Amino acid sequence: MLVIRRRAGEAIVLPDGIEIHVLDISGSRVKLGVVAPAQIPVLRKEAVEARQQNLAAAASPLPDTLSAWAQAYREEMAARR
Amino acid sequence: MPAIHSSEFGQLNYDESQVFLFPNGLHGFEDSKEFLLIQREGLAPFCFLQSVSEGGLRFICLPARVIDAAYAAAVEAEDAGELRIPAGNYAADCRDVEVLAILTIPEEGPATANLFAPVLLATATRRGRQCIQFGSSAPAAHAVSWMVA
Repeated sequence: MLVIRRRAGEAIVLPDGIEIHVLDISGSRVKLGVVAPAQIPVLRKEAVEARQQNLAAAASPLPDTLSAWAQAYREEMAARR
Repeated sequence: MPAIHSSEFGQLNYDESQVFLFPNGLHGFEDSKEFLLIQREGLAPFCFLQSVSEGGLRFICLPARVIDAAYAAAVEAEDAGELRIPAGNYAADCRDVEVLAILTIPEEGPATANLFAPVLLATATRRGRQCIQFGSSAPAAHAVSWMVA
């Protein structure tokens, strides 16, 4: 990984008209400004991971064991009461 | 009464008042903006988010409280605006908001629940949103111990 030290007000430049500006730093948070062409999606990494999880979840077949799991859960809850 | 044909559940008749509006869809499914919460006898506590516009799109879910009774979802300003509820922390067992974890159930290996990006359903406003828990250590793939094949 390339590591670059920058201060607030400074920026880095990538090809294709992409710029990442450090706007503000306060405590543990940094505020970034991204300049990029409209066709370049800029996403938080967590959103990309959520997307991958959702794709896998939507493709999960309904397992035959679902009703057995449900029953086991309900029995466990009843036993705790 | 409107109806959809769900690949999983067949014909589903529903009332418009049952629909949850997701103005931004779900991550990766941004075009699907309306979902129904489906419950099936014998399958509780499992529930399903069925897309209204895509019959083949559904998510298998568990209420987060079933996985972790102490779980709470943070609703930040952006989430709150979309759900039309106040920002703050919503406990998994709170009344006004259903906190769901989407399940991934692979053919092999353990089933997991996404506690990092729970789906919140606001019952009063009929709005829904997948709220990423930025800065949280909640796992995106929490193995559910009692869901083993």
